[in-house]
Amino acid sequence: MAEGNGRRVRRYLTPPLFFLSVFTAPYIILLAKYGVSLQVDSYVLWVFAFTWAQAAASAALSLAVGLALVPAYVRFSWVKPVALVPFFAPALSTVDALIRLHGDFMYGPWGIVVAHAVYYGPYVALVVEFNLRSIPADLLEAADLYVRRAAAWLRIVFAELRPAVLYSFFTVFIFSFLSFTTPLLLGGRYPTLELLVYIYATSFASTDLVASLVLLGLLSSAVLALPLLRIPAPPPAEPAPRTPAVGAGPTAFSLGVALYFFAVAFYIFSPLLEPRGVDAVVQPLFNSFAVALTASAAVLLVVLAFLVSDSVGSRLPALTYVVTVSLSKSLFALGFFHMAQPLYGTLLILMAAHSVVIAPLAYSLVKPSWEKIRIDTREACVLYLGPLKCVTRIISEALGPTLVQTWLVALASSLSETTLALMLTTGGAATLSAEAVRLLTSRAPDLIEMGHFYSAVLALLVLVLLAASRLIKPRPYSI
Amino acid sequence: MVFAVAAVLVAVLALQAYQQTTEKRLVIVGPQGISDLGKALAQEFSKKYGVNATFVPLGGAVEMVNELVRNRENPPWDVAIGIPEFYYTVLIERDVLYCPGIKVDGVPADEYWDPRGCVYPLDRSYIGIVYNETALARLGLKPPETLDDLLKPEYKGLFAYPNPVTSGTGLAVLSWVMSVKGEEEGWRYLRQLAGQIAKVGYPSGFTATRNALKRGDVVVALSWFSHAIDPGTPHMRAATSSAFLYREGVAVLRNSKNRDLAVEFVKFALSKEGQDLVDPYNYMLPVRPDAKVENNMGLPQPRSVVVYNPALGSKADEWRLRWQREMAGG
Repeated sequence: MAEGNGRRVRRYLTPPLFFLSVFTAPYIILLAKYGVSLQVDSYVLWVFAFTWAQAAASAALSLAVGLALVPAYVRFSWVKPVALVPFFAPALSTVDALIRLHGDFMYGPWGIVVAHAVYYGPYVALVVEFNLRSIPADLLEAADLYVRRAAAWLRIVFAELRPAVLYSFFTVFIFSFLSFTTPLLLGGRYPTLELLVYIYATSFASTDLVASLVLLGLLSSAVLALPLLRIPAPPPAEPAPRTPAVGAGPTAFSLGVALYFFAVAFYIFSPLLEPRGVDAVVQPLFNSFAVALTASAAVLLVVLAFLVSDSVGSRLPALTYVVTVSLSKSLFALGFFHMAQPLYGTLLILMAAHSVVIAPLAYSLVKPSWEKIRIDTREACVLYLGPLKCVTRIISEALGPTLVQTWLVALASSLSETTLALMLTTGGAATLSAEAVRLLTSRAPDLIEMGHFYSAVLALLVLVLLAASRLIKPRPYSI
Repeated sequence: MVFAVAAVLVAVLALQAYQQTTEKRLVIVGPQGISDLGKALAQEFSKKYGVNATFVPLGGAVEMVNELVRNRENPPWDVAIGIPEFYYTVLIERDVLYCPGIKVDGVPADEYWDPRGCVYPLDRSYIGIVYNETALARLGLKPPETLDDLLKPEYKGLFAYPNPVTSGTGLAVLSWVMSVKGEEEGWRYLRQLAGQIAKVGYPSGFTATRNALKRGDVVVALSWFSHAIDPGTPHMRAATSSAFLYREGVAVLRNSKNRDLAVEFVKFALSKEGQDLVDPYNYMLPVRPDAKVENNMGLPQPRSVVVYNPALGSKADEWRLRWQREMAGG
């Protein structure tokens, strides 16, 4: 009997195991093809050091910007959606807006740090705000009543905010470390390791150049993933019984910072007022949607398969998420290229790659809702119907709105994706994001202006999809 | 509903991918800057042979060559046009090309620059100093005549040349500078030249450079003499003291799925019919003496011509890598 159960459980582990194999196969192929080489020259070492340094500076500045935005988030609910526009917009749209806003300054090393801070600052504020709202009301009331000095009050609050601060600092560090589009659009003079992989792989015939980066990239990913397994996630967003009190001074300062984000949001969309290359946008737009629609449907299937695996107590899906979030996308794209080269240039190869890359993110969105379903309900469902029927009939119904939200987020994520498109379809079927990057990096004034319009169209589509995902009425166990 | 739509789309994408790998059609790849000629050749070839030939633009010439190398085992293209003479050996070394060893009547023997018979001559023109005569006059500046003139302070912020990491034009500039100045002096010169670059930076290729010249964002450039006869850049002139001879070719990919048809395309591109399209669609000089030349009648003629030195062929990637590290961005 126990043996039969074990076999059944193993059967449900097959999908995440298969997924993990598909995800890791490109990296294994890369190691097999390029070998294990740690012969790095001084330039690669410089890029490596720069990648770490800019990631640390970006995380620190994002944290500062995020903390500055928190009072405005707390006091005025309308600030949040606008301030988050640069974060939810595709990276290329935000960077393009910043170039138009700040000019030549953006082409220096600090331009990359500023772009990351503008991109991730509002996200940090969101994580910190959720944490702030989760502080017990009685603790805040006691602090208000008994603590006279502002410094002591701040010390108490910051002790409570530690999980959010640590988590957001580290995640922003990882995102900045793996940054690709930002340094690419900012001229390429200060490349990250991710961008250098792309430059070496696509612009130089010699494989030796890339070979020196493969092991370095994978080791960095491993170093980044390990702490992510240990750092506790900050408390989830729960409506607080009592909004923390914020003084007039910090609120005014915070609103000033928020105003800057309003300006960035305006710059993201302003090219829509001057449409250019409208005829030429149709084909890339169609390609982008074809890939996004198919990839997001495949992503939902993977998520359901992960939930089936979850229902039998497997931790594999969670592990998959941690592994995937910290792995280099450039190296994945390069490995995927070697794995599926006969399909190079087609939308099918892009669809497959998007499905694999976006699925863990989508799972991370569904997982909290899944965990909010009472454990006895889940157990009873699995016991009477079996994991597969339970998930496909009952859980998928119960999580319906969450799944639709996740689908829309996956759709938006696929539309925004650039690295895979540049490495898998150049000279073939172009997507809107790849076309926008090509135009924006051409250094030709007319083409750049067309690129501004394309990037604004892309931002609009992505943000409409994300806004739609927020309009869906959630059940108690929603995202 | 979502899954049904996705299933239909997957079927369509799979069909497209299947067609790409199996269908009897000719896919011609070439740099973005040669798109007009590529499309015209594809159209005329399709008409003449009753096949489905399409042209796919792919970045700059250098970028294209590297994509051909990367995809050599299973290329989604059959034949490549716009392969630069100074960056074709990489294709030979990596076994990317099929070498049919054909000769086409009417093309003079001295036009064939690949001794192995893999890359066939398509067209040629000159890379040199070009400038916007009206803009310089407005600024009260004399036109530059030599490479060294470009370092003069008055041209600071007015000058550009394309990025050699992606662009054939850019690599031609690098080859020219290294040929006439030697490597050590050449790099010193390029570092000084970096201080003169206009705000737009290093354009990604021919199209981007032409666009920057057209808009006036760049007033002086190291680029094609053809800008001087291009109606799109009416104020451009060329400094004729010296220029670099840029020759480009057409070649069949070894792993093309339609190799025979691709060889036919090469013959067509070198025929009078194909060569007649070069001047009107690419602003280049055809390699056949009997081909029609109208636009290029007024092409400025350089007093001295620097030709590509094949001995420097193996240096191209080393230079590009160094340029990428020391000069890129800006």
